[in-house]
Amino acid sequence: MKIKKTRYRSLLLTVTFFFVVAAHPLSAAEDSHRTWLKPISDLPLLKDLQSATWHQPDLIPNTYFVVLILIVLFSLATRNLKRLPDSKGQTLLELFTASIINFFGDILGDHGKKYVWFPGSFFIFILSLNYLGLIPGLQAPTADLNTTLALGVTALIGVHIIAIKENGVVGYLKHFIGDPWWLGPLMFPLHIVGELARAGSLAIRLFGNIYGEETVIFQLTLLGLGIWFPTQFPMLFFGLFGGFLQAFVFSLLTSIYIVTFLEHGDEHGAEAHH
Amino acid sequence: MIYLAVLAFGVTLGLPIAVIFASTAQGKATSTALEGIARQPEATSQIQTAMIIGLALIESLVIYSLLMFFLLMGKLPDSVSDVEKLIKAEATVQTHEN
Repeated sequence: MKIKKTRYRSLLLTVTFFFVVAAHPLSAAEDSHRTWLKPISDLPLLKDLQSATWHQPDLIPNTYFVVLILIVLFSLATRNLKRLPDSKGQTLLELFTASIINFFGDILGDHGKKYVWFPGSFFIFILSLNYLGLIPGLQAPTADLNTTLALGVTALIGVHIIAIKENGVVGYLKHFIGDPWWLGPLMFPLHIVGELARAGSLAIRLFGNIYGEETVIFQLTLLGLGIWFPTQFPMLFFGLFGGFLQAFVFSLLTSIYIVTFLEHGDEHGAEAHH
Repeated sequence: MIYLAVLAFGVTLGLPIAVIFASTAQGKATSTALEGIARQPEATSQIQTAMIIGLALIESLVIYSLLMFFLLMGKLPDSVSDVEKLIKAEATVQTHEN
């Protein structure tokens, strides 16, 4: 169904989309916060996993929807890769991936460049999760503390595994004891609690921001439901900015935590060059 | 009844106090970043990145306070009749003790 290329076609299509789809009562899901993936999460196996704590019973179908879309998108984009790209898709993908690799590679340094996939994957995944909330009829999975806690714990475990790989178990434990070795028994529990606090702060920062955005968008949609007016439209732009910023800060902090464990490697690199 | 009054104060004043101090800190950070950009415009992107990171970290402390607000909001009574019922229940308990 192709609409004829009249003058303001794209503008008219956008406005119609927002007034018809976004202001539709089904998009706001004012009856117990359900999304249009409701039939999937009402299947007999998944019905027991619905939890009402953060008003998102369709959490698991939402998350797997994002995963499915990411898999489909990236496998379609990397089908016929050429050495000198001549298609728009491959150029765009290379631009996107190269900027991520350059940015996190700068922070991680020469010795950490091989771990650039870790914060990079977090960035792409959390960005897609955050942006799902802007689509009318869906909710962001990161607006639930369970998702963000899982992401924070995964980041923490990943950082520590990378630290053990780089420094060995002895060097890794030495890092916890701190500089004057006789203060070791004091600093050891402090460092452990500090690491747990890092994971918790990553989780709560991401959760608080996205949950607040989602709640504001929800309440604004409720305002304009009766008159079919998309009152949540200005907030969606803030959702674009805020979602990007939170994904960026999460992955940036993960890469900084990796750098704090990698600090011993730089002297060897400088000596090897001479 | 004093418990309900103090709870209401705690729930409503916690977040704004956090916001006051956080906004002061963010204003200071932004003004210093702007001064740096004015002195050396070619370092704009680096200064901007560092400023955004600093602002996000300060804002996360306000988000912790918002989380506490959400947790405490459930403990407030729903309406005036609920408050009257609670006061009557406390009054009957005190007369039983006396």
